[in-house]
Formats: sequence, C-alpha cells, structure tokens
Amino acid sequence: MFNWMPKTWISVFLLLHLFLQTPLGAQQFTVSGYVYDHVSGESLIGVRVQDSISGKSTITNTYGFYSITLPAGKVALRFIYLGFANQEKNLRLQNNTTVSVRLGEHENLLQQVVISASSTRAQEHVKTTEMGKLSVPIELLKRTPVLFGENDLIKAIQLMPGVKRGGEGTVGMFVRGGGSDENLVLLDEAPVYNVGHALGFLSVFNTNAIKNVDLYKGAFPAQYGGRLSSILDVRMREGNDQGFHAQGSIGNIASNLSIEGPIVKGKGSFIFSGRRSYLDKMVEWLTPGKFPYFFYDLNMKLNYQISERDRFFVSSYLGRDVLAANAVDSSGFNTGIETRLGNYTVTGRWNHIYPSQQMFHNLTLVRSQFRYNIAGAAFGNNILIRSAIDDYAIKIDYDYRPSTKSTIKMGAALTNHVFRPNLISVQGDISDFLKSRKNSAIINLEAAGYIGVDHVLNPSWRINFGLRLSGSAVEGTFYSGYEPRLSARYNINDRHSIKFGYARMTQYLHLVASSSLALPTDLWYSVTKNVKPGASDQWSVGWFTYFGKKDAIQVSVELYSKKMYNLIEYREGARLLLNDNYEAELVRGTGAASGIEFMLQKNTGRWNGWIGYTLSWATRVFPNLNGGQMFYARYDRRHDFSIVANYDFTKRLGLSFAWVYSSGSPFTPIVSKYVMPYPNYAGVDLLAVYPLRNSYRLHASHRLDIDFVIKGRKRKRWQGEWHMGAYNFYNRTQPNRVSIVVDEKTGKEKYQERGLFGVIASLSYNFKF
Amino acid sequence: MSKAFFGLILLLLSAVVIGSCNLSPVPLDIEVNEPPQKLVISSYAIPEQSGLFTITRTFSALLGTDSIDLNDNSITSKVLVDNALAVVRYSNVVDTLFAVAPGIYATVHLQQIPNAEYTLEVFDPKTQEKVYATTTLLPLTTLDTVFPVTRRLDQLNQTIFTFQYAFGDPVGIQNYYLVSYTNINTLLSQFSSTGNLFNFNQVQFNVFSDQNNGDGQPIQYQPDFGGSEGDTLVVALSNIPKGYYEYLAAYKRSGNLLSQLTGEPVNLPTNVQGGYGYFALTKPSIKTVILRE
Repeated sequence: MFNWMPKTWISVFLLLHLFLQTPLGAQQFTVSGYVYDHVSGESLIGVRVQDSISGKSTITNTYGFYSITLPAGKVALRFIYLGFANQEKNLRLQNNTTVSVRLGEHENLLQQVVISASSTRAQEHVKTTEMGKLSVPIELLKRTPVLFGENDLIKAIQLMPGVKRGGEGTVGMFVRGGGSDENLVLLDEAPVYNVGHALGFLSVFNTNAIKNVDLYKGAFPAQYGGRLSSILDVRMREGNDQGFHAQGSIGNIASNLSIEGPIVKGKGSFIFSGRRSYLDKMVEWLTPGKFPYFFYDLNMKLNYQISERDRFFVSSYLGRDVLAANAVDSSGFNTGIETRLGNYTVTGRWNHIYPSQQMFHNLTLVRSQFRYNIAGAAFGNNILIRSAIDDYAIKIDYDYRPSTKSTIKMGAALTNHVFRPNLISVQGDISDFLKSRKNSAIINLEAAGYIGVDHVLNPSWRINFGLRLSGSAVEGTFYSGYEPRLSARYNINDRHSIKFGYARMTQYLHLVASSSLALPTDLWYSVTKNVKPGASDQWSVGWFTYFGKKDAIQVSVELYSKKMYNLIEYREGARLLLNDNYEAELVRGTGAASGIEFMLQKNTGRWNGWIGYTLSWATRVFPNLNGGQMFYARYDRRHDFSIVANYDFTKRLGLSFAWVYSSGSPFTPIVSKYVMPYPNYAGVDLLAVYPLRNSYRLHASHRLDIDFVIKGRKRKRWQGEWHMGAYNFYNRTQPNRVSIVVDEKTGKEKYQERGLFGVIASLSYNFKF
Repeated sequence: MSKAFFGLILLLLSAVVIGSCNLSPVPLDIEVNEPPQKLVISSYAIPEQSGLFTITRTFSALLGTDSIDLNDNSITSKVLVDNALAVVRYSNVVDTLFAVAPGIYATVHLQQIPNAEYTLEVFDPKTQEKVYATTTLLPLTTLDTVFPVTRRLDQLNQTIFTFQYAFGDPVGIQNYYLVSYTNINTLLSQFSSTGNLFNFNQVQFNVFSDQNNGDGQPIQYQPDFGGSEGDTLVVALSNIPKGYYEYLAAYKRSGNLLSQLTGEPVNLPTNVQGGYGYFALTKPSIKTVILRE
C-alpha cells in the first residue's frame, strides 16, 4: 500500500531543502514574540509584522506568535492590525531577539492608519494561498440578527456562501454538499460532537467567550483533518490580563455572564463564562404550570506565561440540555422522563518558542466527552438509555519560519475514541419485554502526522503544499488515509489573484441522523470492521480581489467540485431506537457536489457586512437506496443568497439586517396510496406510494431579520446596549414540512407547506463593566 | 433623515413586538403531481383448494389521510376493481377467478402443488390495464408445537399472555418463514365495535430466515405478544419465497411509528409487473391455542 512512500518522501525533502535554504552572504537574525491587545491582553491572530526597511513581512499565528528572520542591522518593525493603531519598533538587530507588543484600539486613529490596516487586510485576502476559508470578525458575527435574538456564531456562518442551514432555525451546517457530520467543530482544539442546544435551535457557543472563528470549506491546510467537508476552528478568549472586567447579556430565552481578570498582571489571566436558559423559571414564576426544559453551558480558560518563551493554557467547556418531567403517582411510584445531553471538553496547551526564535510549538492534551442519557420511570419500572463518546488526545504542532518566504507547519496527533452506543438498563417488570444491554465499547485509535509548507516562489507564485497521513485502528482492523494537500496563488497584479486548491480528507467516524433536528436517534458511530472510513477529494479555483475606499471591499469567487466516498445513511425502514445492531441498519454510498460561490465583504466603515451567493448541486448515489438511482442530498438547494449589513447612524445607534433567500429543499411526498391486506387477511393497511427520493422541491424561502442597537452613554465603568429585533420580520413561511389539509373554500384536501416560526420579536440587553 | 428613519424602524419594531405573539405565516400551497392509478394485487391461499385475491387500485394521497371509509361508494368505486378478468395459470391449468364482492375475487379450484409456479394475470377492461405476477408455492413446513406462556407482572398488577412455538427447519435449502398469529377474540371485537378493517395495532406476524439459526436446526421462538385469558390464538407457519420475505420484512420495518416519523420514505417491493402489492401463495401449517392463566 505504501510503495509510493520512499519516492514521495525524497521529493518532499528535496523540495524542503530547496525552499529553506538561507541566502548566503548576509548574516541574519530572527525577531519573534507575541502580539497582544493592549486593553484586554488577548493575543491577536493575523497581525501583519512588517520590516519597513527590507519590506519583508509575516503574520501572527493562532496564538499571536510571529517570527521574522531579517538581515543584521537596522530594523523597523511595524505591527498592523485592523481596528488597532499601528505600532513601530526600531531596533538594531545583532542577535536573535524577542519583541512582544501590545496594540491599542483605534478610537482616535489618524485616517491613514485605518487605511493602512484595511489595505493590509485586503492584501492578505489576495496574497495568501488560503481559499475556501471564512473569517468573520467576532464583533460582526455578534451583530448579525438571528432567531430569538441569541447571538449565534453558527447561524451567522450559515449566512455565508457555501454553507447551508438544515431545518429552519437550526444550527445544522451543510458545507459544500457535505453532511452535517462532515464538519469538525473544534473548541480550543477539542472536538465538540453536539453543537446544538434545544433540539439544535441554538448553538452551544456563548459568543461572549469566543475570540476567533475560522471556517475552512476547502483547500484544507495539512494540519487539519478528520472530516470530509469543513473545519470550524473556534478559539476561546483568554481573559483580560490587565484588569478585572465582566460582561453579559439578558435575552429572551437565556442570559449569560462572563468574568475575567489577571492572575498576575501582564502574565496570566482567567475567564469564566456561563449561560443558562430560563423559560422554565419564567413559566414557574408566572404561571401555575411547569416548563420541563432548560440548558446551560460554562466556559473557563486560564493562561499563564512563565517565561518569554513558554506559556500555558487550560480551557474547558461544559454544556447540558436537560428535559425533566417527573411526578409521583397515586401509588407512590415515581413517573416521568429525564433526558440529559451534552458535551464536556478540557484542553491543556503549552506554547513554546525555541531558542532559534524561528520555531514555535504547541503541545495539546485534549479530553472531550459527549453524553446522552434518557431515563424513564413508571409504576416502579425504570429504563435508562445511554450513549457516550469519550476522546483522549495528544497533539503536537510545530510552526517553523526559517525565512520570510517560507513557513513550515508539521505535527502529529493521537486520539483514542471510545464509543458506547445505546447502552440500555432496565429494572422492574419491563425487563420481561426489554432486556438490559451493556453494549460493548468500540475503541478507535486514530493517529495522524502532517507536514505543510507555505512558500513564496516569486512575486507571482506562492504555493502551499503538504501531506497528511492518517490511520485508525479499530476492532483488529487498520485503515489508513493518504491525504495530499495543495494550494497555489498566482498574482495577476497587486489587486487580483487566482488561487487553486486540492485536498483529500478522510473521516473515521460517522453521524447517522434521521432528521434535521438533533434527536437521540442521531448517533455518532465509529468506523468498524464493516463500516469503512469516508473520504473526499475536493478541487477548487478562485479569483480574489479588493477595491474601494480604504481598500475596504474584498471580493472572491470560488468554483469547487467534490467527490465523497463511503458515506453512510440509514437504510430504508431502519429501526432507530433500542437497536443493538446498528451496522445492519446502515448503507453505504457516494456523494458529489459542485458549485460556485461569490462573496463581497466589507469589514470596516459605517456600512459593513457581506453579500454572499452560492449556486450549487449536491447528489448522492446509494446502491441500496432509491433503487440505486441518484438522488439530491437532503439540503441540496440550488441558489442561496444573503445580504448581511450593519449601519451605524451615530456612535450610539445602529441597525443590522440580514435578508436571506434560498431555493427550496428537496423532499419526497406521498403521491398515492393503496389498500393492502395483512398477510393473514385479518385486516387491511393503508400503504403509501412515494416518487423517487427527494424528487420534489419545497418553495423557495426568504426572510428578513433585523436588529436595532441602542448603546448607552459611555461611562467610565459601565457600558450597556439594548438590542431590539425581529426574526422573519415580514412573516413569510419558511417551508420545512408538507402536510395534507382541507381547503376551507373548496372543502377538498390539498398539500400545504408550513414552517416553524413566524415573526419572532426579541429584546436583549448587553452590558460590560 | 437618520432620526426619522430611526423613529420609523423603532415604530415598526414596536408593532412587531406587540403583534408577534399572534402572527403565524400564511402556509403555501404546493402542487404534487398524482401519478396514474395502478392495479394492486394481494393473495391468500386457503388450505385445500381455495384462494382469495384482492384487486384494487391506487388512489390519491389526498383521499383520506389515515383511513378510508369502505362504506363510501364514491371512494370505493375508485379503489375497488369490480369487473376484472383474472386468471391463475399453473401446471397447464388456467383457473379463472370469480368476483365475490367489489375488489375481492376467489377460486375454489386452486390446486396447491408444492414447488409449482403460479402466474396471476389481471385485466381491467375499464382502464385496459393489465398486470401479472409470478410466485412459487413452497412445500409445507409443519408447526410442531404451540403452547401458551403466562407471566405475572406484580408491579403492574397484570398478567401477560403470550405463546411459544417450535418447528423443524428442512435441511439443504435456505428457507424463509412467515408466522402469523391472529387473536380471534380481538379480531371479532374489532369488527363488531367499528366495522372497520383498518387497524393500527402492530401487525402481528414475524418473518425470519433459517440463516441465523443454521440450516436444518429446530427453531423455537417466543414473540412479543399481548393477549387476555380465554383468547383463542391461531398460529400459522408458512414457508415463503425470498421475494415475499423481503416484502414482508420491509412492511414490518416501515410499520414502526418512529421510522415513519423520522425515517426516509420506503416504497415496498412488489412482484406485480406494472402494479403494486404482492402475489404469493403459501401453504400454512396452522395450530390453535387458548390462552389460560
């Protein structure tokens, strides 16, 4: 299987050797360090660090680290970041040096400073090899109006090209024709298996605890793997290392509070953040009735810099959805049901800068846990249905910057997944009907190693190539994945570039879901002897440019084509609950997706936001579904168009709106019926006739969401703002189901599409002090 | 300008906040093309020389959502085929079926020959539609024992009646079985109380193959089944062809309520060329048992 390896590795090393050679003659030294926000102490990602004398530059990585190797002598480092004042450091470079800086916000910046930062951001958009990547400032995401007025980063991302939502109001993401399980959601590098609260209507991410979000849809860098369609990399805030602060919000259905402050000023900080829904408490308080559901989540992060070169982080997330309806019946028996569902993650990280100043590493230990428990009691009988996933992972990532032309990223990861699907425990007479079952654990040991090189060949060409080797050992079977990655950029001129990308991805676990809602029947399932890993090949090509006043408008157009192999679905008529042989209910097939995505983005100015458009196709072929004929994927929607805009009337008054249009989703109606006797002729049944799977389309949907913000007067300590908004402002049906109803005018039955939500108003108050 | 705009937006929002509690969007009508009606066939071999057949048509999904009224002529005329020409051919015999009632046909000359191939041909002169289907009648497998099992559930203060059956699986061939269990008392009370043939209880039959048990090994089974003291239970074991087994297995799976709510739609397999339903003739081994505590 690995016959190709010697030649490939020799080629890789030869290329590396070629790229990494330092020019002879000139003595060079390296300057490295971190860049922080002066006010909050948060490390800043993507800051451009440029030497004004040589013109060489680099950018900070996800930990705010930079390293730049320059000729000895006078150096003028300029740190440029949008929204912050530029900062310049002049030094005489005689040996390797550490320079960490703190950038201040641009409150009263000179016009040219803003232009410079905006231009820098726009140039990055054109000059890097990155494509298929969505990075939206968290402040912009926070302003995006959404259902219930709850800030939701996944719903904001759903408004971007290439990302389709699932059912109305839910946080399911379908990226470039992939399934909802083909997205790896990482919270501080820990995988999060269940991203939805309240049956998936709200995401588990508390935006007050989030610092940065990147979504990769294609041309994946080699350091990312494990899913076929996207990587959502969410980074938690580190907390303010300069002073104690708090922020929070009081909303329609939930409230949150975050507290942060220094552990040792300038050295380390903490942040604790919590959120809880309170409909249950409101109902209890206002009515005699009870509302049996609530959710909560807690985020925590600590970090401490023990030396200029070493920094430690510990972060954790705990989220639960609880549905509990219990009572005591007249016989004294407990009767009721309790469902608990949620994630728990802990991440420990050690950032280290090597003495050469060119190499940085991040060592990560991860614990991630997903649980769902359903417990029921009636007349002295008890039942507990439980599924669990436990992950333990260790990961090392190196970031090596031997010259300003090259960056090498390499590393390895080892993850031990333990899956326990559908453990059942029963007590009482019910055990006569249902047997207790301790489903044996499936242990999946997943390993990966990667190397990726980003190299500027000449002013026109820049390439990023890499290789990821992955494998999974499960039930005595070993699967391997050979995942080459390549992206290249060709500069047409300073303002225009064309990029190409290819990535192969492998996935060693599947989610078999039966609907768009997050139901207990949705089950994460490891690869096994019989369930093979999924794989995908994606090719993409794009045009990138920027223009406008202050170079504030960035435009990209990307075409992609993707093939997916070994996809999993439930077979027709699968038994979903209380089943100890899930593998027998799964069928395997392939998928294909293609499309074109247009994105116009403006991140600065009174008007900011984006316009996105996607034209796409997503199909599936499963030999055992739909008679083996091709069918459209569940969320194949031909056109998706969105405008998301924010406008500030004054410093205190602003309006945000999002208008979304989507072609109809495919569905399969009952087209006729027939009467059929039971096999013993002791009765008859009505059976349905369906057309080909997903051969009909719902109507297109469109809606307008708005949010009006009124900020309080800026006081020394307290800052508050009111948000008043509405989801589906003009009350348009967002079709998601078809039912047969009687027409009031004709008295005849007809098909009718209905949605879940009409206009929903929201009111919330955000504060910080 | 901006103040006026701000005021307008605020006014609109206030109206929305106040009114949103009662607003639900207007549903959208959608056209779904109804396919042409097709003939639907079912069959039931009665021991000795008789056979019952139903010949019906598919009908619009908009006609009755959960059940149809068999006393409503306007519906039954669309569903039941009352003038079909139907013949069963086997071993050089052509047996023409006679109409018992609209949609129901029968024969009293049906020779049940093990391993013989039977072809049913149906022609509807009204629509000029013709369908046919072929099946093989498999040899009888004898049901050896059926006996009642009683379980007392103290916590529920209930007694559960069920039964257990056993039979010998013939050697040398892969067999598929249908075991149906008909509670005569429940069946009669259903007819007398509602006169309705539709019944949303779990269809009471099992299908299985000898694959898991081993060819030729004795098979013993106790299905989940509820009954009451004094109930008469008719248990029938039939050796069935693989195609019929697949049809019944798919029917049983799709009958699961959760599958219907959350799963993808399933079209049941058919062996009727140009139509729906399933034509199968089986030779059942029947035993009767009375449930007693």
